Amino acid sequence: MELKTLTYLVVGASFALYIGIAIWSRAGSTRDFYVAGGGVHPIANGMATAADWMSAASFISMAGMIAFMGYGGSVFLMGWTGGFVILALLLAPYLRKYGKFTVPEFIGDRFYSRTARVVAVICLIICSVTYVIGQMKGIGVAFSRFLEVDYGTGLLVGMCIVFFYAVLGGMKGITYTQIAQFCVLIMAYTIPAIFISLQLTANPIPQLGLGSTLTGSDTYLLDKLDLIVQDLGFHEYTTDFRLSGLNMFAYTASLMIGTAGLPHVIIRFFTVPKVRDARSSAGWALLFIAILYTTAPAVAGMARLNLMQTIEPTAGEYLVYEERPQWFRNWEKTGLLEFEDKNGDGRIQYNADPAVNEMVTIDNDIMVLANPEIAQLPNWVIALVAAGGLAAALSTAAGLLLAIASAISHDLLKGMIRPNISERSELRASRLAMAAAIIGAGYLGFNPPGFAAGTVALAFGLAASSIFPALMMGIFSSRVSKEGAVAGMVAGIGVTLCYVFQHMGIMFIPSTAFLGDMSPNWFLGIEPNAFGAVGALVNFAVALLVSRFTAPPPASVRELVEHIRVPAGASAAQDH
Amino acid sequence: MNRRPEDQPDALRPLVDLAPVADFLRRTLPFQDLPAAELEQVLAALRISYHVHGSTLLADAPEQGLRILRSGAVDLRDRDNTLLDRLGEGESFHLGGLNAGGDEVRAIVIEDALLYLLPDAAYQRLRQRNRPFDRYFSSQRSRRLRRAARYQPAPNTLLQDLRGCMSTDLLTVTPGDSLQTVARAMTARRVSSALVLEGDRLQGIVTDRDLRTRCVAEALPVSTSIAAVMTPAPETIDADSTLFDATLQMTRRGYHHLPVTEDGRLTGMITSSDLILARQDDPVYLVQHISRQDGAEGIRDLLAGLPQLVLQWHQAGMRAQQVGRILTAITDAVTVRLIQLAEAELGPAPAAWCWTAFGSQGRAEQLLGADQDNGMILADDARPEHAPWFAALAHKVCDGLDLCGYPYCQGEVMATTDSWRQPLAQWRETVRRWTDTPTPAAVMRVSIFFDLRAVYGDAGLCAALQDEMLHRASRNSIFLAALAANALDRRPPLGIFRRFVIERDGEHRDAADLKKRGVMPLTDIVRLHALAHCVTAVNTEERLQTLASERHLTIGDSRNLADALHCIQQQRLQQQCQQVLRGAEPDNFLNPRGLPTMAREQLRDAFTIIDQAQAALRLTYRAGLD
Amino acid sequence: MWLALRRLRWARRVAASPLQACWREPLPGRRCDWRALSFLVCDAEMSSLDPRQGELLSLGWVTVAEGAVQLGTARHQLIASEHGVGQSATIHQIHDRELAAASPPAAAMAALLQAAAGKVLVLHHAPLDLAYLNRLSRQLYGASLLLPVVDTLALERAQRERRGSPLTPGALTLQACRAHYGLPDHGAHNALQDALATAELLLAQIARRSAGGRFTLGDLR
Repeated sequence: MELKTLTYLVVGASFALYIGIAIWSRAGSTRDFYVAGGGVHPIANGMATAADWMSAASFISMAGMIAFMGYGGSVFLMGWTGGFVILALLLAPYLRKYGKFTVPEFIGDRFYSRTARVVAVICLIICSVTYVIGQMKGIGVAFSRFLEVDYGTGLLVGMCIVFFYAVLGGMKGITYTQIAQFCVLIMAYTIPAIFISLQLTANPIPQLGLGSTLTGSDTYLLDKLDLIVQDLGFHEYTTDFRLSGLNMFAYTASLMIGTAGLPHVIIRFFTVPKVRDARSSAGWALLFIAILYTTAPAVAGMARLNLMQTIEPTAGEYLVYEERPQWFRNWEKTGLLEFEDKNGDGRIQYNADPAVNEMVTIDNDIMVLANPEIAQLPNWVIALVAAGGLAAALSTAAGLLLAIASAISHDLLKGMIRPNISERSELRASRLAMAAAIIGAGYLGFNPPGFAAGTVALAFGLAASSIFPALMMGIFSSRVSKEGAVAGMVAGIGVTLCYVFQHMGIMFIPSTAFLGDMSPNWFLGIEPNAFGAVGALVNFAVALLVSRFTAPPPASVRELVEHIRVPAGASAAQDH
Repeated sequence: MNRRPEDQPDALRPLVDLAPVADFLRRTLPFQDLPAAELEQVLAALRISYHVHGSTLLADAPEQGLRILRSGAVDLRDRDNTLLDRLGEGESFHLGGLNAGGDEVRAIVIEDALLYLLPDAAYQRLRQRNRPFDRYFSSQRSRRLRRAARYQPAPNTLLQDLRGCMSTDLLTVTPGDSLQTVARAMTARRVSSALVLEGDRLQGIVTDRDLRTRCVAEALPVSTSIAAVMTPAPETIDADSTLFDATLQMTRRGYHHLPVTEDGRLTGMITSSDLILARQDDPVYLVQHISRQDGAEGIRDLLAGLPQLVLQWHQAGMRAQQVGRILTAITDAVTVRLIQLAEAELGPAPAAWCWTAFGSQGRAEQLLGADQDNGMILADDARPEHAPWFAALAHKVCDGLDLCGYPYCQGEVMATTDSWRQPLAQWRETVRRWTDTPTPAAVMRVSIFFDLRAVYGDAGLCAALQDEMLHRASRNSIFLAALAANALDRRPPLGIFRRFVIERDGEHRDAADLKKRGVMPLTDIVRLHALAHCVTAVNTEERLQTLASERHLTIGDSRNLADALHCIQQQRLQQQCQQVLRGAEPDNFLNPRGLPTMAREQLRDAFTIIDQAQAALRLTYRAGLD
Repeated sequence: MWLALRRLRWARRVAASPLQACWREPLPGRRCDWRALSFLVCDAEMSSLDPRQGELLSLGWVTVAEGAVQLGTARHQLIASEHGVGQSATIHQIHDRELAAASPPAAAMAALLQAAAGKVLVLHHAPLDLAYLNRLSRQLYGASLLLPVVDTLALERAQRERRGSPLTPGALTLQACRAHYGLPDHGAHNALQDALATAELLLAQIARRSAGGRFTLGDLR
């Protein structure tokens, strides 16, 4: 069957599956009143959490980043895995004990101030919208490829689908839909990786394949890759360091602590009734996430190798443009891959030197989607990858959009501006807010501030600079006052936003960047994507400083803070 | 000579000069949120007319526009004389609009009605100019439902408050008055009792019988002061109570006179003869007889006729919520009697305790076929050795209830279950555990448990527990989120495009479960709001009222939910009555296809309102997720 | 008929006054159906129940035409007082302060007459209000109002007596009469609100007695 038809079929089938589950669970008879005992099994909940967690950035973009950044791309692996652990161990148990379902609720209550709550809501909205931009980029890439249209059109189609998906309500939260999404995306990720690994190294496990020798030779895969990329003047793949040690550290830290501030993930820890179940489903989620995250470097390395070998089949012998493979032609249609014959020899020179390089555009985000095509895998595998990319983007985008809509309509509109609004109007406002968020994110997604993973890193940086410190100080210090917290959050996110905007343009419009996006202009050589960590430090410093000079929190709050740090079992034990 | 135009130096200031009319309009739904300037124009355009019982308003009358009922009631009927709707005070209708489909709808006045007419020109202008106002009239949904639910036919006599039948022309004397003075005054006024007042405060009551038994029989001198023979500190009843309450109180205690108070002030008196009129085919007798039975069997025999009685009430036009209240009062009476019988057998309680009702009995919303949901709260000074007494009592009462037709609770929410019969301190601990670890099982228990009401014994224990639970629940939004998940779990039986979803197979093929998919989700929603805002009321309607008056819900939302509840409960009652008529066992399954179009649409509207309230719940308590 | 003659007698005296303008409109016919008539339902607040001592404090009126109260015609006129409000202020909720913004009696009277032209005046307990109005009219124009008058209280009394129902004291107050017709509580006590309440009462009385049929001005008196 032709690839295009097949892709339509597989993507359509996966959508039919999600919608079918939604309709089935809506229409099916509700569970009996006294029967339900167990709830969702931790493994199932772990899968759902993993589907929430793994966004288009993880699925589509991360391997692409690693492929082109080499080992430097590992910041994502370390940051996001570490972030999940921090969230699960350091924050979630305490927040749960405090008894507040959402982060703004916690901040508003702990810092006994509506202002703090509103500031937290606004910070969350900023982070979430940025996050959605990243998802939009991923969705745009996926749709443009499989509809074979340019990126802009693909993005527009994606926006519509996301809107209907999120608005047709209920579809998101049903755990089984998310489990299905997880299954689709993990299969879509690992199956091609296994195929390629078999092809290249005869080892079916990609993680091991990456460290093995190539089929029919004694050369290790990575050595070969190093050799090729260095030939073309790129950095050595295996030792490529992202700019500087400090930057690597800041980048990782920013991703790690930013995780805490993202609303849709933390809530997953509270939807499980028992602490023990929450812990074990977090464990399962980590395992499921690890499947993808450990596969990513292998996918990246092999994809890079395949790409290089396609363009330069034998050393010094470049591919003739007219003989380029079908995938090359298809991606050219999206505008995400461009060739410009600078020396007029009709061959594709790919080189680190921009003067010689003829691959003028090669978008990192296409790597995962193009990978099976480059490796000439069967058509159904390629179709599966498209479905997986969409599943990843949709599951996360829908969750975020629902959270944004609720924050705007409930926390801001009903909570602050018009308390007397009727439920109907509130619902209408939430849909409008969602549409606005999609349009806003889509608009910014036309001109994204980076690759999907980079944009998501920005979102994490913003969360790291605003929400994480407030949560930490809220839990671990009884001294921080409302003034301190508000000042801290404002300062943290303000500094980070300013830094990002001055280097990447106001609202990411490149022409408005007053300081260029180049390393000489960076503060201590830290790139904007990684600046969240610095913002967090500013936040801590300002908050602690301001708290010193303002009245301490009321006694009741201080007691509560002391109380939540006693482990849950201990207080029960003391009662008897 | 030309007539001078009617511009007066003092022009009309509608909002000030016509304040009562403006206030009334502000209490009616579409006008409630109208900006002042537009309300002024409405006021200036209004025409008031009065229509006697039986008169008819036709669509082709010269005066057309929106008619708002200031008082009275109106039936809307179509060409075939089918009753479309019944409207009461504060509701509005527009014959032109209703006849857009050529249905020849007309309005028939069934109680003398004072109507405000907003002439068509002004009405249409307002619709054009004010979007919310327009939306109210274009959204058929809330309007149709409201019409169905709001109107209540002349309230059942038993549920009238006391103001209507108490005597306000009271004979009052002071404690220092002599017997003779009082007796003379009573004779002169031809009354059988006198109230002894000191200043404003009611000191006592003296009746004919007191004069006979305490004075004449004892040969007291006529100069004895009345304070010596009066019944001091008599029981009183609040004027807001119903005739039913008064009758109950009097028959139980054997009183013939009850002073009526309002805000603690004496305002009247109600006597047993006042109640005689209201005594036909009413549940008071039933309750009274229940309280005289000596065993569960006797009570069972008495209750055998209950379904027939419900049928009668329904046919007499009693609304579902009133039936619910009365059925609950009967259940309470049965429970109390069974407890008394058990206590008589087991001896007095070794410690203070309270029998509490949960679920629909707690909310006073029982219909036929309810099972028992109950528990016991013991005072903290109850010692382990007292446990057998309470267990024995619990078993006797629950067995008795089962015998009387209140089947055991499948979920073991009964006083016989150890975990539902605990000292207050342990109850508190249970509440803490539930709120900290809201497993689905805990949440389900909790949702029955949170509708609790003291039926017998020390109500203070019940209040203390409720207080604890409200305090814990309201500040724990993770728990509220779990409750919300539970409330969202049972969706109304509407599929995509608002089609009815019915059971596909099994015993109840093609039917929708009105209880599980209508009443329960709605009750869950209201309970959740009530818990989140520390509302102590447990009756759904009272909760809604409190939520609206404390501004946690808008008046419109609160009314929509109340109307939806009434509508579903009414269908449920009707269905049960038909089942009783057929001789079948009453249940909660209804096939929507069997309903007349109007009723089906109303039911659909009610479910749509629940659906919407669930969406709002998701936004409020689950941050918009799932 | 009789009114027309009396008006003729006083016509010269009131020349060029608002009263004359008012009289210029033809008198409503006695056989006229009530729906074709216009009524001006009026109520006055005064500082004393004795017309010789008290003075008018405020006037409120509203038109009933085509069988309905025309709410837009409602007017409330506070009248400037010479002696202050005195003790009845508590009943009438009028305070000297508010009266400062009031119009002089002549202007109020002129406005009333203009509204009343061609209409039947309706009052609850007409004798008292009329005494005040006539006294003021005589002071201003030298003649009584000479308008056709319907008294809702008298109407109610006649009705009850005809049916032989005993009259207890207080049964004919505006509030009690309204309650008798199932009309809602009309609440506060000011001239316009009372006038409006009276107008609704009038509608109810007519509706009950006419039973939907023809009902003339003659039947009302």
